[in-house]
Amino acid sequence: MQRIDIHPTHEYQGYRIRPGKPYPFGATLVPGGVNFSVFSRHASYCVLVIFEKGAREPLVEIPFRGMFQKAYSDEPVWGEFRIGNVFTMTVLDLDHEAIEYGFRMDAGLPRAAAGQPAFHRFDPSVVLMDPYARAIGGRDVWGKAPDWNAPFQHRSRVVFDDFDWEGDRPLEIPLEDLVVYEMHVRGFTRHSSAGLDEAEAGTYSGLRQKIPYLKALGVNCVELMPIFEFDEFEHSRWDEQQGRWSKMNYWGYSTVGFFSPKAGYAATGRMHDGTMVADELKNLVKELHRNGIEVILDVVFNHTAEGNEHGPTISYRGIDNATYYMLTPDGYYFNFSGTGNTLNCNNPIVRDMVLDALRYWASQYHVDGFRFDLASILGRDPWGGPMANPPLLEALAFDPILGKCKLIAEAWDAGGLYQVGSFPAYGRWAEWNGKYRDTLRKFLKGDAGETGAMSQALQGSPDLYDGRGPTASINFFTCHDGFCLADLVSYNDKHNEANGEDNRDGANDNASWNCGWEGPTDQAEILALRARQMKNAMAMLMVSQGVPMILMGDEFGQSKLGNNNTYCLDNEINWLDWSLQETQADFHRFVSHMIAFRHAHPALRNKDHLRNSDYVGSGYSDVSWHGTRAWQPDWGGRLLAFLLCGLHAKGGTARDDFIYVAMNMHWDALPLELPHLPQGARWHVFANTGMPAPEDIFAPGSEPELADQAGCLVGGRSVLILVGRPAGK
Amino acid sequence: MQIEARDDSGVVIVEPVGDIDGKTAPEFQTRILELVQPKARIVLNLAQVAFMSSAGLRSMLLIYREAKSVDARVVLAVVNKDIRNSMSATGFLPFFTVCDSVQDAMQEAS
Repeated sequence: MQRIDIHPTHEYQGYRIRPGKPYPFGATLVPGGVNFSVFSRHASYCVLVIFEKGAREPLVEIPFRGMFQKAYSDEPVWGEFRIGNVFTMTVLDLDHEAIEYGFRMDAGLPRAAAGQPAFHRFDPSVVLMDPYARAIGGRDVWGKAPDWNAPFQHRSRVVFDDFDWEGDRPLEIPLEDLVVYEMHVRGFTRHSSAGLDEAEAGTYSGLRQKIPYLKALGVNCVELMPIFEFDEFEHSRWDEQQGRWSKMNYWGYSTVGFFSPKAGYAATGRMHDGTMVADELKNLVKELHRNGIEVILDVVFNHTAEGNEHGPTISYRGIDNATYYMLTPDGYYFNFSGTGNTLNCNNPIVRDMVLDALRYWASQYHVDGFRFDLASILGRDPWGGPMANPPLLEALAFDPILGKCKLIAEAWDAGGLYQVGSFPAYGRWAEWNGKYRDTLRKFLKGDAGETGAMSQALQGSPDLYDGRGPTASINFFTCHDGFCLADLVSYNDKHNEANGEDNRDGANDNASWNCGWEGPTDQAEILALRARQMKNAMAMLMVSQGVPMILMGDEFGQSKLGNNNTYCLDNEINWLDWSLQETQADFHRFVSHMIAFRHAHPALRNKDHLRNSDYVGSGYSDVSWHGTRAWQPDWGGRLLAFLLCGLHAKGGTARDDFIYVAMNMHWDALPLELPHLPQGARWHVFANTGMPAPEDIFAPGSEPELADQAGCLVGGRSVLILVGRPAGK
Repeated sequence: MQIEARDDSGVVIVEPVGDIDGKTAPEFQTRILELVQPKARIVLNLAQVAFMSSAGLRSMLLIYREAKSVDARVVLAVVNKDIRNSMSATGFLPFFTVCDSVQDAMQEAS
């Protein structure tokens, strides 16, 4: 049966329209046309501006209030297409593929001058992007300079939201079983060594073609650095000498639109077809899922690309500045994000937008989870104060559609709020564990007295997450922010000159150690030590309770030349160099075996914290601590060993081998007395970073038996991992 | 949109001319679906289709699904590189049999 609301009520310059539906916000395909809906509390005037795709001048500008023609007649008629604070109309017979759209808004207030504070920044001369745009044109091909003089830069598009998922759904892998790979879509396959066609290099499609590599490495979750539409040209400069753009916004932590995938990451971006970009990303998610790999999006809801008082008006501030942003009593932008403005996340309107966006990604793109950039901002009230019970964080934790999504907080912000261990969790939220990172780095470089802190970190930080379990802890040595692993063991200090800020940007406190020489060297001894330190780091990470995360490129030991803040470098420093897979084959093999070891041993992947007691009657505690002498840990030194009893794996519900890990960060080799195993069980060597490859590590299950079952030597700055299981098994 | 269809020894060869996009896809789909009869053998020669939008891709998939449901067979021939790349990136390609020439496609269809 046909609907009775597909007929127009009004006409405007040949366009047939009717009152729209306020929900959902944005542009939605409805029978016979496109429904437009946009909120503004403070605008009194709104116009829908429709462009032919790519055109500079609009096709038509349809006001939401005024004189129209009655449909199918010449009779003039008054019309107002607004419900509450929502402007909404349905335009019939639109070829949704062929158009782009935006809005003009005004409130009859004096114009706010650029650079001056103001609560409202209405300017009807500007065409505004739809905050709910499902696709955005204007930056369709990465790095292709736009027409800077074009009046409408970020152009909302309409998306067809059907897709053939062939039964796909989010994987819902338990958090404790994840091994996360933090990666950049463009950087992953942009390098010529990736061997892809120019059109595919650096795209979602390129990533899809490299899924077998990720599968072989053993990771089962990719965390994509921002893929919401952003402007890579924000703050960019033309470099006359190099003849190319510099200071690109490569990382993308500056959202233009929260509902739109970054078109410049799509091989199909150049087709200027928003639906195709969406399809390409959905196809990537589908293929990752097919290979057992989850997708977590790094989402930036703390600020937008509109900057401060001097910034461009793209959307939000021209639609309702005082709603979307946190403003000081004088009308300046609060800057808790360190980037100019702060999204007003606990305003009910903005809170709903964040929720709508996340629900959209979870339901339309089958995304498995989210990592929230500077998440502490999401817990601030509209005046900037930290809240005890932030409505947004609570709403996310209890949301029905997000009910199985991973929610991971970067539990701090640039305004000084540091909540690692105290982020409002509601039993759902995990955190990037910055304290884990700092503790392990200090221990790794040989700081004395870190063994006590290490014992907490290795258990999934019960000191921070008591009652929340180890899965609250995302463990990492390195992430996109800060040194990569190779640089962590090659530089004492940051070297960020390439960023063009005289080395002022980036963190100064890196807890790194160059192993005796700053930067590149050909001294074999130093190179060997660095290689060993990298193995030590990967070993410690993979035997820690909690959720390990590795940074793209660290599995090859790729260097970023000491730059610890590569946000603006769209070049070989950031692009994954696939040739290292061969030249760093030993290390790569070490990493993949370590990941396989983690997957093979449930004792390493507990959902609940270890109890340091024997609650299954095995004669061993679930975890016990040791030093050079068995059962006698040295809480002040540089060596720590622990023993996991496999009969306590997964709270005693799984059976595993015994696992003994000795981490000697003293420069000297030390003799170890090994804890006794139950009768019939024998120690086997899984990894010994003190040994040269291939004796440094063995494929899980094929470990050779240890010659002396009572004791052995652990090399200086080395990690030894033994498995205890019946002889010959 | 101009769509020629002819029968060549039991195989229907369809030759659309022009872009298949939001404007033309509905007509394209209707015309082809008329030909998708039980057990029909159809070759879609795309030699003269320069561009296919996401609406075009969808109409193709619908045609393919319809064909499958009535035990008909649709084979694509002479798909240009741009369209093939779009189909590959967006996940539409694996649903189809694509041949480089009409002759191969006819063989494939019958």
